[in-house]
Amino acid sequence: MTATKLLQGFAILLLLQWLSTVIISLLEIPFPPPLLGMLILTALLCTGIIKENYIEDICGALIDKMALLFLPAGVSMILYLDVIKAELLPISLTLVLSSLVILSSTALVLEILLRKKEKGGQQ
Amino acid sequence: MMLPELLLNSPLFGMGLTIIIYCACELLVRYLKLNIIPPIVFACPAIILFLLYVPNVSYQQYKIGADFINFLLGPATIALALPLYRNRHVIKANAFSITIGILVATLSAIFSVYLLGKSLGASEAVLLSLLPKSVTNPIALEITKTIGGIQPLTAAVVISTGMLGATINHKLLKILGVKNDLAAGIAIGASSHGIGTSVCAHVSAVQLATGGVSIALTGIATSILIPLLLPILKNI
Repeated sequence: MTATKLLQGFAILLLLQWLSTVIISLLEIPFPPPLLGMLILTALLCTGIIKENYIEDICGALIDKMALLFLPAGVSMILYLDVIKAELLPISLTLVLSSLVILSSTALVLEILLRKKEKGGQQ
Repeated sequence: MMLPELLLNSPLFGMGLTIIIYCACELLVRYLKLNIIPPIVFACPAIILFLLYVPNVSYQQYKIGADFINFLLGPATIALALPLYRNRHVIKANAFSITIGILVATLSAIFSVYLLGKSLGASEAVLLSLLPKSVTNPIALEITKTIGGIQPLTAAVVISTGMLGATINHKLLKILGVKNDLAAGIAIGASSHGIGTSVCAHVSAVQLATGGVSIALTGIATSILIPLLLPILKNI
């Protein structure tokens, strides 16, 4: 990993975010620009316009420490501690129970579906 | 302890506090061998307590520097294209299963949150703010704005959902006997977005890639389905 490659990769990511922000604002649709940027970068990688090694260092670093990047947004809940305190029970129970429901239902449906597919492929 | 204004009014304060506390929590987690719990679970309350109890320190001052770190979420989201590209064959080969998984996740999210929240007595505004809690923050905030929830409350529950997911996802999947990385990745991305998926970076490349796909697709599906289903939900 070299500093130059890291910086050039970062420049590519910023350029893509810039581009997708311009596109979204021109189209006036409620869609997060970074998500469009992700789709554009995937397309550029698939077509070989951007080589994997231009961006692999910066992408690896950002993904590896993504949790750190969420920290400021998490701290912003400090502004709404009153609302959270007033309805703590419904908020926290809904949060925990629905998370369990979503994870288990999705994972189990896919596990069964993929197991069937595997068996089907073998026969 | 009184911190000088020179420090507090500079980006150094918020940026420094975020990175120093995060690294300290990372070391703590490693030292105590708690590697199943992500450092953010300790770092987030630690910073909140710091801002609440250290005299003369305000959230507004923290935000000056913290915004720089928050900004990096954009490039980091774009960076998810790399695992997506590297695992494109797995994704292409399983396009049908992935679509079904995303639909199950999105529908179970919308119905479980609404019905649970309502039966537990959440107010209308809180209920609406909770609805998009499993999708990535930028999309969740757009959805809340469209349906009339409280945006910062959505941000708080989205982050909490992610932290909960990062802590329990892999344990729950083990209990459920889910062994397929693709099933795990889609379920994790769909239930706890980027924070939950960030743990997959240390588990498997396929999980990380499908987690990234799942974040994008559930985000899109949720933003289409919530406004469509809301009139039906309100009649239940």
